[in-house]
Amino acid sequence: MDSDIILVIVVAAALAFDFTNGFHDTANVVATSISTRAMAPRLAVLFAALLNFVGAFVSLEVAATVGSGIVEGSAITTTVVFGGLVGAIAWNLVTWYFGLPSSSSHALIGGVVGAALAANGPDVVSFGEGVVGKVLVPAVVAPTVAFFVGGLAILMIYRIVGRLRPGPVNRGFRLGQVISGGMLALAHGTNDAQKTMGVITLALIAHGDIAPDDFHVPTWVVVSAATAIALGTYAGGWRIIRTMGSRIHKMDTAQGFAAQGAGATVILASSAVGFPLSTTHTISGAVMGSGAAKRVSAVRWGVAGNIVAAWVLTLPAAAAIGAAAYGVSRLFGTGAAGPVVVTLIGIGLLLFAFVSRARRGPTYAAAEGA
Amino acid sequence: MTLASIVDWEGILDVVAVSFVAGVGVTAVYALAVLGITRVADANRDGRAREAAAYGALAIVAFAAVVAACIAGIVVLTH
Repeated sequence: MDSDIILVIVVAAALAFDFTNGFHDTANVVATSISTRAMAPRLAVLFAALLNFVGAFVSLEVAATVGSGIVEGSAITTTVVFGGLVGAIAWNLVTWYFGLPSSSSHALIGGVVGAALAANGPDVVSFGEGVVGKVLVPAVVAPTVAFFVGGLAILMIYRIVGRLRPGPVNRGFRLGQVISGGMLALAHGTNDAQKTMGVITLALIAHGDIAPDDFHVPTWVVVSAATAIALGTYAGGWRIIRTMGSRIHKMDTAQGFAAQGAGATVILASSAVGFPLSTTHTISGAVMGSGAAKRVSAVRWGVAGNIVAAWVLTLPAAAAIGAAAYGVSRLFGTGAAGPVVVTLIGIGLLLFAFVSRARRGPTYAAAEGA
Repeated sequence: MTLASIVDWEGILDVVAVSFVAGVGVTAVYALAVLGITRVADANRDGRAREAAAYGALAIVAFAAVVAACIAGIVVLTH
């Protein structure tokens, strides 16, 4: 009975994480379209939500990596998965609170690794092939490639259309941003929704519903994860939209198109290979590349530096919170009491953060003016 | 344990190669479509029908190539 209650809490927490993932990462997908006025904010967010939903059904390679490639299956219990999710959700909310576009993916992986470490020690975590090979190296490669692809793409575009009248060119690239933004939303759903699917599947394996040597993602998990990320995307994270859309550098429509196209290509290619990369890192790299190629000083490197600092902190911070959440849960034994108490504490802190943020005034207007 | 042995370099190289070819290629081809549409309007305004037709064809072919590339990318991903 207790294990059933924990499983329900874990699935609810995983879908809550997926919601915050969509909420947090909406900015990655729509900020460039909004800042260049290619699409109205609400329309851009709705469009992204729909394509995020569709994208979640496209591939399951990343879910397999998250579910079976980083922490040893025998070490996973529902309480470990719960601790990992708390770490990921908490770090997502902290970075959302400060308007920093950090990685939801690394938060999730960090959280699960931290909780597994607290539960079983370092032997159960595949630091080499898993964390370094499948997470950290792609985490460095993807934004770097996106930076150079975004930069090269905008240089090619300027070479081709640089001498034309700006009016028709801007209209052409606004239309192009509908396509590139759609591909980016699809790519986001493909890579990010799968991480939640992987974690729920881990919990189902730990609960005994799926055999460890028969890793597969049940259809209800795919549908619920797709729905949660789409709803989160529609809810939107306007603070991060502002950072991504205008604070890194002001973009023209061609730069927005180049950045979205570069980001979508890198994410889709990585999803096909099964790398659970950060969509946030990737699109940030592409945005910076498209700005730096035009003029290096166009990029506000101070803002970019803050984002990089949040990236570096994400894995260890989420791991520390995940380990702490697991530790607090275990203070109440192996039953459902621990996860219930931690959930209640989390909901309390969440309400406090929302009320505190609401008192500072609306952020939608800021995004509209971005 | 070396970095070479724990990293899926083949996968990384695939990502890098596909990203550069598709990312730069598709955006450049779309820029050609924008070039075509803009030149069509200019040529029509100046009464240069043959030039307008040529740029119109460029715009259509380039736009179709971009749409085909997007569809091909999704098909590859689903298989």
